[in-house]
Formats: sequence, C-alpha cells, structure tokens
Amino acid sequence: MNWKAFIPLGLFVAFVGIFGIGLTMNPKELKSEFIDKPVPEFELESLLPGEAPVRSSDLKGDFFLLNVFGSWCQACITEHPYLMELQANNTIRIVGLDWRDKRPDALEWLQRWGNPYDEIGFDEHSEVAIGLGVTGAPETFLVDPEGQIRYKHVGPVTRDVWQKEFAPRIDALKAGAIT
Amino acid sequence: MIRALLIALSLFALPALAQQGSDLSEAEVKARTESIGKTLRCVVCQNQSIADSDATLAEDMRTLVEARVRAGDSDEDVRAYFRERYGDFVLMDPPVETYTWLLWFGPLLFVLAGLSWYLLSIRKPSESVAEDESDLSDAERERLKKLLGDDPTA
Repeated sequence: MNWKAFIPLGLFVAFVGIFGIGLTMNPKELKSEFIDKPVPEFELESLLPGEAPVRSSDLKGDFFLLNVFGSWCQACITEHPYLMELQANNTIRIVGLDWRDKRPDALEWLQRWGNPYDEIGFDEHSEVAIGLGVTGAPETFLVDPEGQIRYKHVGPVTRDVWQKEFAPRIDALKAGAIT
Repeated sequence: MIRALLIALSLFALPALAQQGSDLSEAEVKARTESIGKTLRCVVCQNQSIADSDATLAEDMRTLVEARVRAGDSDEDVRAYFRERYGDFVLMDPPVETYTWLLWFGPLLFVLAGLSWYLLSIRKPSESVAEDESDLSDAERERLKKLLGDDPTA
C-alpha cells in the first residue's frame, strides 16, 4: 500500500494528541506573575474594628501566608480547618485578605468558623487583590522574610497541599537551598 | 457646626480633586475607560472583556481603569499595569511574541499547506490513473477485457 495513504491518519492522530494535551490543561490555572517578586506595596484597613491597618511594609521579617478569602467563598470553608490547625501549632504567620466582602458578613463568618489569621486586611474593592493578580478565592501566597512572593497556590490549602507544596519550599528556603 | 460646614465645602472640591493629574473631561474618561476595558480580558470569565462582563471582579477592574485614566495614565500604561499583574492572558489580543507566533500565523500556515498540496495535485497528473495497463495482473487484464466486451473469443 502507498505510504501517502497514511498521511491523513497521521495528521488525525497528531491532532488528537495535541487536543488531548490541551484538554488535560486547566485554563483557569494561571501562573502568577509575581513569583520571586516583592509583594506590591499596600495599606489596607483591618477587617477587625479598632485594629491597626495592615501594611505590606510591616509584614516583612518572617515567612507568612497571604490568604485571600471571603465569607462568600465556599471553598474557603474547605481549607479553613487546616488554616486553624496551622495557627494552633504556630506553624506560620497567616495574613488574611478579606476580598470583596461585607464587613458584618465577614465578622460573622470568623465568629462562626474561628479566626486563623494574625492580621486581616479588608479589601472591599479588590485594590490589593487586583494588585496581586488574584482571580479567585481561596488563593494563598507564600511570602519570605524579605517580602518576596515565593509560591502561589490556587484553591484550598489542605494538609496534602501544605505537605507537598508549602512545607518543602519553606524548608528549602530556610536551608538556603534556593535563593 | 463649623465642621459640618467644612465637610460640605470640601465636598464641592471633590470634582476638582478627581480631575487632578489630567485635564480630561468626564465624557473622555468614560469613553477611554470603555475602550481600554474592551481590550482587557475579564480574568474570571475567560471569553469576555471587562467592558462586557458583569462579574464583580470586572467591575472592580473597570473602576481601577477609570482611576488610572483619571490619574493621567496612557492607554498603554493601563494595559501594562494589568499585564504586569495578570500576564498576557489579560489582554484580549495576545501580543505577537516568539512563543505566540504559532497562534498568530498557524492558520496562515494551514492555508498555505493546503493550497500548495492542492496546486501540486492538479499540476502533476495523478500517476496511478495515467498509467497504462502494464501493471495489471493477468487475471485483472482478463476481467478488464470481459468488462469492455472485446473478448476475442466471443
């Protein structure tokens, strides 16, 4: 048989392959433009009445998580118990960014589920969220002591995610294995 | 009382403050916000621009575009601001870069490939059709003769 007869089949298989790869990719997963860049400067009023504003410049000094959440966000409830656990064990400082929320709703949410955050900035109009290139909640940034963003996780931070993505990075950064 | 008066007075100053940094008219600001908004993708809705989307994030992005326009940023500055944060994805028209050339010129490549294949196939008369009977097997030649009805034995 003529080899040329296999050209259409070959093209077909190639396309199936390309589209197959395309289908397994998640278009919602955007890489952060901020990896290894400093957290954009910001100052936000605290969600909690009477507390000092949250300033990006004050956050430096130790590793911390910047966790974008909202009382409207269902998936945030999924990760919430694990954030509570991280806080209870004093594993890492957690800074919350209450995004596009209503203050009474957010306060009620914290009352109901508990507050895992050391500080909470109230980002009612997405100023900081857009500044960070946030597309949804929850999103969690790992920030190093110099204020550089080292990792971004889209979706709930579960024990699994913590152990696979966050803990090894922090250990490596602390050991100076990555700079 | 005096405080209330001062606040009331300062409210009159607000439009003037809003104009600071540029001398655009309100209509110009709106028009430019709209036109820039059309070139920026609503990052949570994938296939809509922020000008067309009702998503809350798109709304906040429009507010931010408007604030930047008011502050005197050029259209390109505003787009650059969002591109820095959300990457190329936020631009409705992806930039022509080395890694996007396939996206931009791929369709043209397909048209050219198809066209050249077509031209080649009409220019060169198909060999398999033009060939004579010589590559027929004996049995085939017999059958052909029968079909043509010029069997000398008939």
